[in-house]
Amino acid sequence: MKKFIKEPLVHFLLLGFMIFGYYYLNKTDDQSGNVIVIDDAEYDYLLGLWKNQWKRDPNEQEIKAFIDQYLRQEVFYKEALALNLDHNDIIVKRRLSQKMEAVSNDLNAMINPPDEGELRAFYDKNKSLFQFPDSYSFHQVLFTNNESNLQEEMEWTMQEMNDGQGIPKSLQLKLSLPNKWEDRTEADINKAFGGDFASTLDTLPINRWTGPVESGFGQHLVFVSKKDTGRWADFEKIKPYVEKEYEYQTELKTQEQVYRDLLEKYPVIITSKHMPERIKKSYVER
Amino acid sequence: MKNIGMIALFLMVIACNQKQKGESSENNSNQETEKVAYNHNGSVYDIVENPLKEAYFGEQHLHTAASMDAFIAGTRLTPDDAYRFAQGEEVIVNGKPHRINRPLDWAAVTDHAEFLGEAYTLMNEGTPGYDSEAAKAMRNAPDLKTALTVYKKYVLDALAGGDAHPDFWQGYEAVKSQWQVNIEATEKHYTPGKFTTIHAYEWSSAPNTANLHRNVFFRDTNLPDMPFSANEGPSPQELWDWMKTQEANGVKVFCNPHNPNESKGMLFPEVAMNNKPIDETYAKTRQHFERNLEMMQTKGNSEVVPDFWPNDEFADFENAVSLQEYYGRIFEKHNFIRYGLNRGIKYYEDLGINPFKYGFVGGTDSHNGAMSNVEEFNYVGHHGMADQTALDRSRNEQDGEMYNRDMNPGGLTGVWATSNTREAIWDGMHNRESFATSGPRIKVRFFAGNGYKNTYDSYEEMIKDGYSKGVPMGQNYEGTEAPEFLVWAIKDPIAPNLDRIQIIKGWVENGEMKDEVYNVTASENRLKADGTVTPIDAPVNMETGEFNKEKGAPELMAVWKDPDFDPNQNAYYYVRVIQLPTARYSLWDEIRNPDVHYPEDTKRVIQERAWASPIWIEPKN
Repeated sequence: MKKFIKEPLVHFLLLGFMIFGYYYLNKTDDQSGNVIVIDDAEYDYLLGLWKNQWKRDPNEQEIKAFIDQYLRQEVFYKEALALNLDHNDIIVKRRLSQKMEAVSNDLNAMINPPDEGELRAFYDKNKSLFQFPDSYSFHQVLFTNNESNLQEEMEWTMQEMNDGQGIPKSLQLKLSLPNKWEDRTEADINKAFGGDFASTLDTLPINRWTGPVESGFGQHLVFVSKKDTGRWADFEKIKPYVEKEYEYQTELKTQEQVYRDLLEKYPVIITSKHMPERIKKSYVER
Repeated sequence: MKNIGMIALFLMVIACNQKQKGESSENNSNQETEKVAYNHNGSVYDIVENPLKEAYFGEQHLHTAASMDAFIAGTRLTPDDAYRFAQGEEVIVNGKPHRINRPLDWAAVTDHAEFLGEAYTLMNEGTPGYDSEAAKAMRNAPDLKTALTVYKKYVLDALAGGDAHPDFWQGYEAVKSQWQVNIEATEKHYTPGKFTTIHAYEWSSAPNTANLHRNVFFRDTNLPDMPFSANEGPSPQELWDWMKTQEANGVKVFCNPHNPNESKGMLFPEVAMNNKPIDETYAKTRQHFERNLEMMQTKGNSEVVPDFWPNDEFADFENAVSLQEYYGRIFEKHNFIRYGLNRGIKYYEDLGINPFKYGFVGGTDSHNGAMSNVEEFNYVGHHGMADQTALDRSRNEQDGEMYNRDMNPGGLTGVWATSNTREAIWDGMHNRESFATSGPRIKVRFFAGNGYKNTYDSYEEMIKDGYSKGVPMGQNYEGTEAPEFLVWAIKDPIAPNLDRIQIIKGWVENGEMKDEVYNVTASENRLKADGTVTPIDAPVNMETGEFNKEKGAPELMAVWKDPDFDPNQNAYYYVRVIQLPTARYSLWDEIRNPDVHYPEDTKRVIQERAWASPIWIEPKN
């Protein structure tokens, strides 16, 4: 029974039936199909639309205008229906299928309100969605590739700095690049340095000058003081967001499932000889 | 997908909160940044302030579905989507997921004011007019051909018949409603210190198809309840009148014109639109409200063209020459920025005030909602269904305007500012301490003063000297001695090295307007004594699109003196930085799509560049 209740298509059809039933019951005074009734509900609805746009009450002339517009639309609409103009009209088709899909979206909330356990399971299973971006704190100094004695200069400078010397003045803010970077995300670092600089940081040892590491500017010596990688946000802290993501992901799933199930209901026969074989096959074998 | 960005943002907020406060600034003596508290809308943000200023890159010209022409062409991305794209989120551009290569520091949505009301109706089901025949046709156009027919039938024909609007326009309340939607999106995405948004729109006047468009920018949330469109006033003077009224209400506002190349001589005119000569009041008002010119965007680079500057060896760059085949927008010298700057200083000589005293910005003018999607290898067109595939770009025309293959991904704006906040970015543009690039994130600084050193031990020392002994780009040099121009540039970290830096001087001599290009420094000591530069051979690999990684310099710096400086001469000086060659999007399209072939005359390789805003000499007599 539980399985049955979780089946989206069943709900989908049930909902469709309810919508149909509602309209059927509400149209009892409209048996001939060619009477246009404007009751309070209809009038209030039209009035609401108008007020929504203009943020005030309409005067009499304006009321007359929107009623005229409504009637005009209704009579043409009804006449069009009577002549079956709605059949095989691409725009009508698109609109109706959109409406039906919207129904399947609403379904999701009805049949899938997650409980705490389900949410947590979803969080555990999709941790990558809730990961903090990797971030680093580090110092760097830059050597450009056209400098003379590049290798020796770098080695010598690295040794000096590892022996406790500060950053030499000539290497401070070189090319305007700050020496000190604090708690910056990989994306931020990538934007500023280019090359493979940001993705290399994770492989570097902590708390000593090392290198060279290449960027879009040249070669760097780097002192990494802190790595924050592979951290996830605490479930309790971001529960509302887990919930939102859960809803979104299950909505996509439900939609797809309803589509698949409906496809079962309507057998597809492809007689076209123009359609490429491979595509044809994919529908036959589904 | 749509929620992921929200989560990332939320996580970042948590991460910030978890950070320990009051960390000491050990080893920080050389980086005088400081954390300060910043208030916006009742929230307090920790932001970094840098007295030496940082270059923040952003978009100042972009259309979303709220621009009706973009909507009809198939764009459905809203201002909200555009700001998400700018920050690195994936969005669906013309049915395909797309992402900016590098997120922006700041951005402004500039939808056309003229049809904001229609856009509101088109996008909001249930509103009056939503189901009108015209609105339905606009929403449902399945292909470019239909879209163009719809555009002609309901917009162009209405305009031709004297109607400013298609028949489903619901009046000014609808305009206000959409303006409000844009305001809300702009507020929602402002994260001081991280990502700045600026309230803005485009005033799109085009009398007799001469493009006089201006983007209008507001400094804060003191905003008009409705933007002033070309329907209310098609002449720039009417726009300024409106801006004056806004100023009287405490609104802080300026505007930037764009596409002088499409202006048919009307952007830098001899007479105003009322046929009266440009006078002192006109010049004063224009300089007060108009601060920057858009140097380059998808519809061309407006600096110079070889036709009128045959001696400028870098003039042949994204000139959008096929513009001339439509609407009689024939290239004339007075449609280009270098002429405009020259004409401006000549007006100064006659009127005592320069009406065309402009700094530089760059933008895309994308109608896809894709902010600053400027990288050649990441280009997916800017005009909905018209140029969405490589094939479309290689052979279609942009209806009634130019060939798609003559378009380019557009330019970028860099602003020197002390922090990434709305006020600092707006002020930076307003002070013209801004620069344009053709897309790359090249940074360029430019000062004029006295007592600069030829080399500096540190960047910090150089910049401090730059400010303390002179003025930055966008200002007047006021010294009595011949100025020294300090210029500095660094490459974009993902692009090739730099080729050279040039300074362009324009001046008035016996009433005649003149200009000249000076090479002031080049990589690998290629600058010769006679001022010419030995060409560099740094070819692009035509099979893979890769650029040369060995040649050129990552950084260039020079202090230059004008050999012909005359303190009594009206003059301006601006900077052009040239990068080594890279693949144009046309080459990337051909490499990735073996069936796509651009016509022979299409460029496959370009030299991207940056332009720093001018410094002026305005003699006092």
